[in-house]
Amino acid sequence: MTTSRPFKRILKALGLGAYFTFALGPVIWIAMMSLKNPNDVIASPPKFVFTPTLENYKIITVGRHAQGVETVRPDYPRYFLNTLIIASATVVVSLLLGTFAAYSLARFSFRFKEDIAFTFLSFRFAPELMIILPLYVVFQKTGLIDSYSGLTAAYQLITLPFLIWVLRGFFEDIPREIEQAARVDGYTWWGVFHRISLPLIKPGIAAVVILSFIFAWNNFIFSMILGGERTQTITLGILGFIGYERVLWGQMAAATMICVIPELILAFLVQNYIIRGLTFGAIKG
Amino acid sequence: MTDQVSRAKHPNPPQRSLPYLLTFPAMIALIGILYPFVLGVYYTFTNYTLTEPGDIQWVGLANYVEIFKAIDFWKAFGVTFVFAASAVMIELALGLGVALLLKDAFPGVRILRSFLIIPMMIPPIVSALMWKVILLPTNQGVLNHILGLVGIRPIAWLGDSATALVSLILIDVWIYSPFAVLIFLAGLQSIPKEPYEAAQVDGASDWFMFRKLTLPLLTPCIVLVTLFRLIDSLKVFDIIYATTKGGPAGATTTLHIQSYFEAIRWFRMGRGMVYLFVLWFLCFIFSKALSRLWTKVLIR
Amino acid sequence: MANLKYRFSSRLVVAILSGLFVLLFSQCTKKNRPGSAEIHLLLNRHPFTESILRFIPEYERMTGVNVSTLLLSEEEYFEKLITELSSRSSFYDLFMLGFPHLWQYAKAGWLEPLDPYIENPNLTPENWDPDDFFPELIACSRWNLEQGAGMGEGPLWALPVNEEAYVIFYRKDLFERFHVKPPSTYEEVYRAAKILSRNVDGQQIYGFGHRGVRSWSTIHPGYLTAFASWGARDFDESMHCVIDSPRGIQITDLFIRTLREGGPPGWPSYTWYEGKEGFLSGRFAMWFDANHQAAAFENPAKSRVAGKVGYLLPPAGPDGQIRSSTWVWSLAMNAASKNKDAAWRFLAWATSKDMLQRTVPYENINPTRRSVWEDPKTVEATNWDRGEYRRTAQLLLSKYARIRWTPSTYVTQAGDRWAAALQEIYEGNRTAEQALKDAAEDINQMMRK
Repeated sequence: MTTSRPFKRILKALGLGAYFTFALGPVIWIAMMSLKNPNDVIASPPKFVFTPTLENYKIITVGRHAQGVETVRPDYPRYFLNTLIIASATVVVSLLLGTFAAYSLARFSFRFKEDIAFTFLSFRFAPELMIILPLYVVFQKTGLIDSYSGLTAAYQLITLPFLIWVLRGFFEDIPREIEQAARVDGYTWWGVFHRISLPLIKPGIAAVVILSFIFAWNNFIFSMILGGERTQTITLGILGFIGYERVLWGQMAAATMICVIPELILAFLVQNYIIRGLTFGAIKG
Repeated sequence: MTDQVSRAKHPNPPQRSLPYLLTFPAMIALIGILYPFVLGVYYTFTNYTLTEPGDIQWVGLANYVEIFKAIDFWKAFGVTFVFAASAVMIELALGLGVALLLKDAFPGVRILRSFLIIPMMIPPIVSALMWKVILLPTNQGVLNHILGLVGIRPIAWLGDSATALVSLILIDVWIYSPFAVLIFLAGLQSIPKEPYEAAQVDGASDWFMFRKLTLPLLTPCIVLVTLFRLIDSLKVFDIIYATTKGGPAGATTTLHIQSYFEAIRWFRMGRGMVYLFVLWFLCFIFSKALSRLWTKVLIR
Repeated sequence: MANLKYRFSSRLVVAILSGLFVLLFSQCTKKNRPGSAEIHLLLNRHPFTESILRFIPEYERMTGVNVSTLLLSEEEYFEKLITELSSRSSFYDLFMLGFPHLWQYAKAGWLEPLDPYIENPNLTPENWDPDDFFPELIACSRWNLEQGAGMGEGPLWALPVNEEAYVIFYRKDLFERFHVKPPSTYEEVYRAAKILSRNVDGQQIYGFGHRGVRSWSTIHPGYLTAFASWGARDFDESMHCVIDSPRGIQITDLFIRTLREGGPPGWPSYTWYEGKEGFLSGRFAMWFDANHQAAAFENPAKSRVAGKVGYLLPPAGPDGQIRSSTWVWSLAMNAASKNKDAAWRFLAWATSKDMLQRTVPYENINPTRRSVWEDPKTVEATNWDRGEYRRTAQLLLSKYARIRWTPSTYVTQAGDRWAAALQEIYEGNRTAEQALKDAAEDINQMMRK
């Protein structure tokens, strides 16, 4: 005897409602904070009903502000651009370097293969604090401090192992017959690779791109220590709203909302592929 | 990873050196941290103080002995472990549960699937700061305010050693359960329908199908989520740094946080590196075990 | 259908990426004015730094020197600073310091002594007037590098730009309403805090507020003031940690009890800004912290308690002595800098009478030069509570406020461990005696290395 359908549906709705309240509630609260004036932002008790204002957004994008309201220097658009450049460059470089590595780990047999694969994964183990100071010295000596290329190189530590590991799974899922057929037709490994294999894992690439972009976008320690005035990123920018006097919560919240936009856009663009994509990656029925 | 893989032999590469050539650039990009890592390990055997960089002396195992004898180290070890284990287990359970709820199509499911990633999109350190506001101890905090509406007295979430760690686990789960949901969703969607249809014809209950069919087929996903989330939550730093900095009274001090105090605040690099090296070692052990499990499971 | 969408979005992505790379390269090739000197400043967010920033374009026009600055919030600032200095980077020429860092960095050899520059008539304008600085503040910035002694002697390591001492801000209206006399001893603070922790007109008020996070900066303001006023010390002459002296235990016990029974819940999580906001929004009856926060409290645009704030000198200890702690922000020069002369010229300009005066309207109080403090414009800007603010500030600066830490490079270490002990007492895990004894032992051990 199966449980009644409507009962199940109600349970499902309750479950989903509970989770999404949990997941999106704080986000809605942050959005509300971004629309509040400084007095309302941390009013006690917290205000759910208030007069919204776009002042915070105006301040951080255009720099205009009312008298008496404290603000930080309106450099936010520049931080935004910096992070966009660095995160995009990171993902592109990771793709270029990692796709080949993932392919060879998936397709060929060679000595030390599993060791190399595990080594790639192991680069993720090092706690940031452990490597940051000597890395800083290295960067200093090679002049990579406060440079886009330096940060892109450092960010590879975050994105590359993840990308290799996941794409390897995707490549392994491609049925061998397809590739073997192409070989028989006379393609070199490169031909097979870029004509057959790569297109087949476009969904996987899309999935890994959005996740790597998010990881690179959100990073804090590397950009703080290895970056500088020219390359200040958005995470550091948002933290900059912790002023001397008080924390500018409203502006910080507005900055956070804006910060999410590129990631959201990218997510929408690849949404279809993510679901379809990860399907082929992890497991196979 | 699949039956096909185990059946077909991995072909030999056209040139013996090709695989190495292909993996070489990626390796080079990452090899840069070997030097800092080895240097870090070297420092664990010295008395390197950041403000006296010219005066580094070898002390052998002295740092290790001192640290392992102190109860603070084991307390931090315990906190690290409890945090990681709890966060991963909750994220697994929640991830699977929500994925099960979202796998079938219904009006609006695609929007929900897109929105669920939003918590991950905010930089964790910023999320933690915002959560700090939500969790303010008096009823200035939103959570306390809402609980107050149903008569519960305000709780000092991050300011009371009894609830601080729980609050941090809550924040971690909030940020990262979308990761688990995403992976499980993908896994669930590629499970073939036939076994289920057959089982239903045979009169199996939902619970039976879940236990005997879904779970085993999802094992690779479970291992994947556990692997990545375990490494990251053992190493967690941003969330704790932005909220409690390890307080109150050490209730939320993990190995990584303690190393921050030792190395950056108190300039005792030698000791700080010991904490970090132990942390690295923990990640190493667990990942080794999990990746072995994964290869075994997938060959099956 | 999906294919078409994919092709479009992939073209869009390629277009965006190419645009970004073009931008990237254009950034790399941007050059500064050829041939001009350049100095780099690493600064934390502070009214002084933020106000000086406004005037930098003027300085650049005046001198032709490029000044680039990186501004960070305080926590991140010190982390970046220690990374830079410990690797002997010469990139940043000038930076901000508090005295614990001044002691640490001076001992490590990272700071450039400033006396030669002050005395050099080619580099320092004639009317710069070094004696105009409050002598107490200059003394704070001199140290002869001897652990446990020597403050006020030795080279000048930095120039003070901002000073604060500690007062108890109190809500005159609440004290009047509940007939509580403004406290003049710490026992009275305790009693007042308990009486005033109550529900007032529907809002829960807490009697007493203070910082609480696990950091030496929690020890430093009100607590250290109370500690010193009670006659206790951090280290004795031979640099032995004595925070667990009987007097130290007494005052710590009283202080924590005040927080537990008359303070807000969750005290260990209170940062300075949370506490300050607590007072600003009217939720505390008393707040024991930096006196210049008055500027925020008295600003009706931000504060709900403007006009209702009173300023109390810190209470006296059992021997009738008031001993306030103090904090000085200073600007220092990197010993590894490659542009020391240019850096000094900027430093002198930024700390000149004129510039310090011009930063006052941007809330850079308390000024470190006597002429600026007594300037009519400053007097008008700080005339809160009918002059009571100025009276207390003046008394503190001249009589009661000193650095209460023994000069050493261990302030942050000892302070962090000390604050952890306070949290243990507050949570009830340990008594004051046990916690302080353990902390003292740990600190002594830390210093034996």
